[in-house]
Amino acid sequence: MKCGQPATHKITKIIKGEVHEISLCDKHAQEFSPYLHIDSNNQTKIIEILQNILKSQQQEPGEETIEVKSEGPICANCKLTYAAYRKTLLLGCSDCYKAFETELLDDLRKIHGATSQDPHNTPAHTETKRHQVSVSENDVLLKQVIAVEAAAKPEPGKTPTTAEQIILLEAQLQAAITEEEYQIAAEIRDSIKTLKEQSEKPEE
Amino acid sequence: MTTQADFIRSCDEWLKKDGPMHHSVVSSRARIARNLEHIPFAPRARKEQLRAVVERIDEAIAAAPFFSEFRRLSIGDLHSLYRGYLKESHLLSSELEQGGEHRIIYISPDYRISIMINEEDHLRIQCLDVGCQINKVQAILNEVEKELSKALHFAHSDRFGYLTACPTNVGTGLRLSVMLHLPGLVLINKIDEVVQSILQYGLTVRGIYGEHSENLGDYFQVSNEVTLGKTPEELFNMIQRMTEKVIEREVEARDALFEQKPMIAKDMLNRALATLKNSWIMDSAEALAHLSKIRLGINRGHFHPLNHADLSRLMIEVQPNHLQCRKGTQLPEEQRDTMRAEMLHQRLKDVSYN
Repeated sequence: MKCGQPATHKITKIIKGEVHEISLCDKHAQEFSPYLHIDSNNQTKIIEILQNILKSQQQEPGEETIEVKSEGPICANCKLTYAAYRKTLLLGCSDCYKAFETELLDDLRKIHGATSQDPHNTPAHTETKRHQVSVSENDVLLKQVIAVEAAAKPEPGKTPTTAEQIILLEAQLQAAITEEEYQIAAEIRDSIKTLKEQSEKPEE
Repeated sequence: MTTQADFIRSCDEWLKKDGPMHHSVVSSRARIARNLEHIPFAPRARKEQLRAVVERIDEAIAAAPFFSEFRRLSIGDLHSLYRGYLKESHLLSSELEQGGEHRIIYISPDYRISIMINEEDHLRIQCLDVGCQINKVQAILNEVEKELSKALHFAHSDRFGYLTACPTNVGTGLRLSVMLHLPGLVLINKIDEVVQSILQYGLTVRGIYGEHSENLGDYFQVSNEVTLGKTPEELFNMIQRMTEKVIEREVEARDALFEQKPMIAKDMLNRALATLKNSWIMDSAEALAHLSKIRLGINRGHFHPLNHADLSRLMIEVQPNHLQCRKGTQLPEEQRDTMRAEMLHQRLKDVSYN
């Protein structure tokens, strides 16, 4: 693991049909994906997360959907939301840097190993320099992955469309297969099949 | 006043001169990204806003005598062949090669400075020159920026420096790069090691030819990765030092090859020339591979009357858009491949190994 910590997590991502595997330590795995939940025993509780998400997908129509995560701050000038920024990694205008000041620090640290132009404000470069190497190789991948994850997340307050649900489930299917939880994988596969059949039926 | 087409077709002029360390450093480039305050960045701006950005920058350029000889081209009005041509000559970015409205490029009469409006950022300014001249291109770039900032106020914050559409450019907004020709290291299989050490240093390396940026032609572009938290001087030092180290390694590699395996080297160079002079179908990947050997041979005293600059230009002239612009029309791949082979016969007919 390039940051010096042992690589305890292997993440498999399917992007446009291509399989990408990334090995990360605990800390970077947690930063990398909100789907991973690492508890104090360092066990990845993917299964619990999957079960929770599946449960929320199976709500009766008419029930209010649970607010997954807020859109985050919004730029008063160009109206870009932080959530929308995450989808493309492109900011809307110069004022966005003020609006998302706190939230941007993480990305800036990952990209540049620094969070400001003033060298006295930056953390020590030593441990982050080698991490920059892994970021440069994975940078394009990181953007794509963030886009896939964000595309799969339904906007709060809106019922996720069938297409969104299918994308989400397919990602979960791959995670379950990686974790060798074939029972869960089978259930997810069935859910996907049902959703696909539903979406092919004529509208009522 | 030359026609637009003629102007564009001469845009490789800057490569005709010889430059420092030309045998290993084909060219140097400095580029900055700047934006106007409050107006949404180009990817998010509406048409009227993009137009307003163009107007503001046009005004600033018109007001400065420094830019009086610059040529203004409207990207949306350029045929894709000409956009491609400018991209192959490194004047236009791949973003602008896609086309689009309200996108302008200003080019200096010596073709070394280009000012792009409404790329990913409102302003992308770039300065090129031959050989290893990073400090020179950086200095010229600073001058251009100074001229523009007389009339324009660039978005900047004390904390984050110059503000850019993508956080990967924020801070100095400065990307310094060198285009290296490293056939020696490739041939003795030391290139991976050198690439790794460049990466460890905090710089990026990529090939510049080929669909997936493979290292066709043994060309490698080295740039700084980080733009935030470092001063322009620090970025210059990083890339200058690394370039000097890599040049040393490349020279060692070439010496080792030619001193220890002179027959292999002689055979390889002669085959490259013979293939280029005698083929009737030549695709660009193969052309670049052979031309790379010729360029190496020139460094070792062969292939008169050619010099390094001739090869730097030739390696661009075999690219698809350059070929098609010569004919003035789009051509299918087969025809490009035969055209390329013929062009190479022409250019190399008076060249021999000695």
